[in-house]
Amino acid sequence: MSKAGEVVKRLRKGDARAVARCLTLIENGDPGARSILKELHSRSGRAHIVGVTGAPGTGKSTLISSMTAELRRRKKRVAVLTVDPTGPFSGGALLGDRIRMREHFLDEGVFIRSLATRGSTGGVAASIRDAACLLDAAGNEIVLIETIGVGQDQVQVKDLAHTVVVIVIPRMGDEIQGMKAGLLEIADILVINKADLPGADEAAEQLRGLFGESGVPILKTAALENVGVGQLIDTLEEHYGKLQTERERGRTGLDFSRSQLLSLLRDRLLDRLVQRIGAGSIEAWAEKVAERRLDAHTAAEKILKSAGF
Amino acid sequence: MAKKPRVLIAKIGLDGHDRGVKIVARALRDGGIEVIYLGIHNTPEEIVSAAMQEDVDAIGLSVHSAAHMTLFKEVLRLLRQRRATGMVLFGGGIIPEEDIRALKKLGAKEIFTPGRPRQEIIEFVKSLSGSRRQKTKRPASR
Repeated sequence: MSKAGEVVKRLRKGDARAVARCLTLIENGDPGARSILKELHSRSGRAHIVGVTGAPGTGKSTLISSMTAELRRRKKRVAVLTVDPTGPFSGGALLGDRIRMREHFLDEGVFIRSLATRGSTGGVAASIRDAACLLDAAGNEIVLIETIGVGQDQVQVKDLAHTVVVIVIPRMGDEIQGMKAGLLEIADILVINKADLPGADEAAEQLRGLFGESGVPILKTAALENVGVGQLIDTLEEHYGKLQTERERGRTGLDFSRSQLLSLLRDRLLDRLVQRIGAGSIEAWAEKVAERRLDAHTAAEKILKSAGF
Repeated sequence: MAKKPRVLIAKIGLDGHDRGVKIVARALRDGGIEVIYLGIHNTPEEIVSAAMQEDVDAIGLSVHSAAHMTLFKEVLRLLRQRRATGMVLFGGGIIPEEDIRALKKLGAKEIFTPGRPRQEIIEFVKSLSGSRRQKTKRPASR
């Protein structure tokens, strides 16, 4: 059997070590990862992929831990992919989400992996789709993806999750903040976490005014006290069920695949372009732009022309 | 995307003195390393289980409770039992010289006592990544 075939066999048995090793290959863009993903792709597509997003400190990790506990009570195998930012200067990262999920460390039905963004800007890591595909094919029934603490416009998670949960907390801003485009509008479910704090009812009222008509469920949770978590999981399951009955899952599937394909093409086209003209050449063009001898648009056109596009 | 060194940093056992370990975690972060920070009061089982799922190059444990011999021994035993012998264990804290020798004999790769420059810890972790995949030797046989 091929090496990839051997690994795939271990993965499907749920061998945590094999899963962990493969995730490393995927993260590092190792060529070995591609042959494994090729084998696994036809076996993926069974897991419910859930994105959990929100600003820093809104309680994403803690809520995911409580959600995981509830899913385990419902006998589901759970995987968690949790993303924190890579430093723009050092390239290092402090991955501090797992620390909130300690109650699951010894549960063999839960697999948790922390990823750094490594330069991706959409709120998740570039390798997240492949990582989710692997965890899906390894037999997890639900994959929870935690984004970095996002701002108004880091919405990439909508292109890879069946269900997007957006978390806010009380007193994050007035109605005008809620009227802005971006984060809030990608929500399939809106959650007001830390609902034990003052202002939770007002926040719920505000969101109802803004999103009530759209039919997006608005829930209140207090993750640390385990309040509202059962209802959140019910709502998640309902949403996924609706996608399936409306056959929308196929549509979402097409959206996901298109967006993945486009982002792969973007990366690889750039790689090939740089290979063709040499990294030094880009540097030389950049110098011309920096010295104001050429504007960046003209430079980009000239580079493409010199590479034969 | 190129390989990045990954390390799990935590305190183990009943020991809440976490100022040092937080400084080390941030220093490693600023040194270009991906640090999974697990905080205080971890058991050896929790540490090893997390390290396996995170597939780290190394585990760095801080101990100021004087229980280092027992706790390190248990972590090393679990790593061997789970066949994660390529994963390096290092540590730091108030640990006497003779215990450092004993810990190294058991399989801990390095122990950093107070006063060691942060840069040394960064260089140490960076030197592990990359060489790790070839290492299959059992730490106990060193």
